[in-house]
Amino acid sequence: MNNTVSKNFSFVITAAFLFLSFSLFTGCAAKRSGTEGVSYPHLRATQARGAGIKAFSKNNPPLALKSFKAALKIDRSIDDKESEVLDLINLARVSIASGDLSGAGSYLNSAIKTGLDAGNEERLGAAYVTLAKVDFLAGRSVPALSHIKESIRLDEKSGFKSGAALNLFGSILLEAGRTKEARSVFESALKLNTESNDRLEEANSYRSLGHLSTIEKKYDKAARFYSQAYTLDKKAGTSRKIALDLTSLASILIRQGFLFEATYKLERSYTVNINSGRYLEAIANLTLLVDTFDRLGNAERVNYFTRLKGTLIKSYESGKAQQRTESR
Amino acid sequence: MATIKDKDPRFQNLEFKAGVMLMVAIAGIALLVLLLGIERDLFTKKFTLKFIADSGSGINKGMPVKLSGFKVGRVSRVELIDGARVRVTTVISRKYSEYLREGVRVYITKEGYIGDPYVDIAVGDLDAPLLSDGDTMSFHTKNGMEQLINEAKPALAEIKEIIHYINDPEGDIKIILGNLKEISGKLEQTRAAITETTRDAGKTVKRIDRLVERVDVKIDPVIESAARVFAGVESMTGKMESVIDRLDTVSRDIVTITHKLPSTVTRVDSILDDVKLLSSTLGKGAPEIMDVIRNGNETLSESKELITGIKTSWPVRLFLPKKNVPHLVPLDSFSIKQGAVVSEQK
Repeated sequence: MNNTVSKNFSFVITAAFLFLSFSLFTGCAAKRSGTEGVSYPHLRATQARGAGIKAFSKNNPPLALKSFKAALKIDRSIDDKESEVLDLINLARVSIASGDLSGAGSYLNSAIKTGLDAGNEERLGAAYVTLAKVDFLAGRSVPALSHIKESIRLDEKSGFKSGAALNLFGSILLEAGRTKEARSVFESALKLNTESNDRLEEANSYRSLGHLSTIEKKYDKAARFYSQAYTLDKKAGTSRKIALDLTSLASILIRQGFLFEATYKLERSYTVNINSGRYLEAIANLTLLVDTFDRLGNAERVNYFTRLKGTLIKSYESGKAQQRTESR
Repeated sequence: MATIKDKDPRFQNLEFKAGVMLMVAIAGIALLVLLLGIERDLFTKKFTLKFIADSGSGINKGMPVKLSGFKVGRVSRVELIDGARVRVTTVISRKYSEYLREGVRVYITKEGYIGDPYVDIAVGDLDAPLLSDGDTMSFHTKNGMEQLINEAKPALAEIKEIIHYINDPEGDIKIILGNLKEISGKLEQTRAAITETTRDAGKTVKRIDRLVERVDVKIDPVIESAARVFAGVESMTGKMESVIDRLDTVSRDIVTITHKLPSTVTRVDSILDDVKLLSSTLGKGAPEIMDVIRNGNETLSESKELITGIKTSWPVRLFLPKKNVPHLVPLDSFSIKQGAVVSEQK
């Protein structure tokens, strides 16, 4: 009898010990993985935000907008101000990509207000740089300059340096005619982007330096910068920028008097644009090709590209007309 | 009454013996900790250096950091930052700091192509300023099968494009070849025509010479001036001949090139034939390959589901590290407006 009781007692003690050890162990693991304190709505908002970023990277802005709006709704319902700021910045960036600058502006003003009300300045640098881009695109150079400066100040405060912000800062200065300052900013951006291994922004820095050198009539330098941008863009596979780099290189060659070489670049740019469905850019390429072959005195190529341009304009206009009919 | 404690000598000085045992054990443990600490560089001074990579794939916390093949530190932190890039923080022994100067390059590399990965630091300019705590190093990619494949992809695409370009019957190369053939034929005709003309000019000069011989010697001055004119004509003829010789050489060179070009084109054609043969062989094996791929895909998909199930089940999910997800859509500083600025300047 006593023996049975003793056995049961040992079993209970062993089981309790194992349970406590396991609880302690899993508790530590949960703490380590940071899963404690994450509510279900928070998880859903994070998932929606991730889906939005994925949709944007897959070039699907409508789905990205839908996902970010869903995330914003959840974050507002649980009063998560920090995530709300993120959602609003994301909505603004997608709106910019869709060409809705006023929508982007209102999202960003809301993001800045929310961040300031909550006393959370951590993400405001990202909000201000996006707002500066909206202003820059809308041609408002004075607020663009003040917003980009604010963004850089906030980033520096939190120990972060953004090559994208510097590139944008340089572009704003360049548009304001402050070429000397713009060059210095672009060079800093290039150094930072190279160090941080940000190839997209590194290419942007090279392209901007190319634009600047073209304005300064330093064509050899400009050609070198555009070639470097082209090499990086080719690796990244960004067709719009590849076509732009080729067109820019052609424009430099034309200025240097290398007309035949320029036609080669223009034909390549045209091929990239037409295969990516950018008809307007392709038509612009054809216009330049016709002009250049005309200057070369090659009537055969002038006729060929003039015919091609006419066909392309016709198909572009009929496509637009069809779109209008469908939308009605 | 004396107990066993008093009688048995083993119980004498028991407290002292136990104390000595305890001290020896504690000293042993302390020594072990000390040796382990020395082995793992726990007591050496350290500093942190960072680098930023496109992807965190293959980079883990605790991964060794090597300089010229020697372990000098380890990865202490891997975190996701804006733009979905990865900031890697490394802890490096201070004693190696003199080699770490501005311009050092960081690579993720492996012992061979499939060995354990590690962070490799390549030393830069030894006269550059020293890196200090918290500085960022420049990250580059090298080695690795994926890198090789990625590097080979654009090259293969470009080769395909070049072959297509060369083989295009409407393309520039074929047109240039045709034009060259035509030009060489025309040059050959031109050379023959010039030789004929020169021969005729020679004959004419000889006839004039004979006529002059018959003219009265009284009109010497006229003859002299005529002789000067003929001398001029002769020297012109000599120059013409050297030009013709040069044209002849050029024409011969063009003919040689034209002869060589078809063989080059034939070689390109044979390469294309090989490519076609390879494609047709692949085409014949396509059903089997498709089956293998389909089976592979199904297996992969099932394995993925299984792993996802295990990863999301309790308690496994508690042990998995938190997945870092990007929070912001990357901002591209470039805008088409800038492109338009340049276009307007054209």
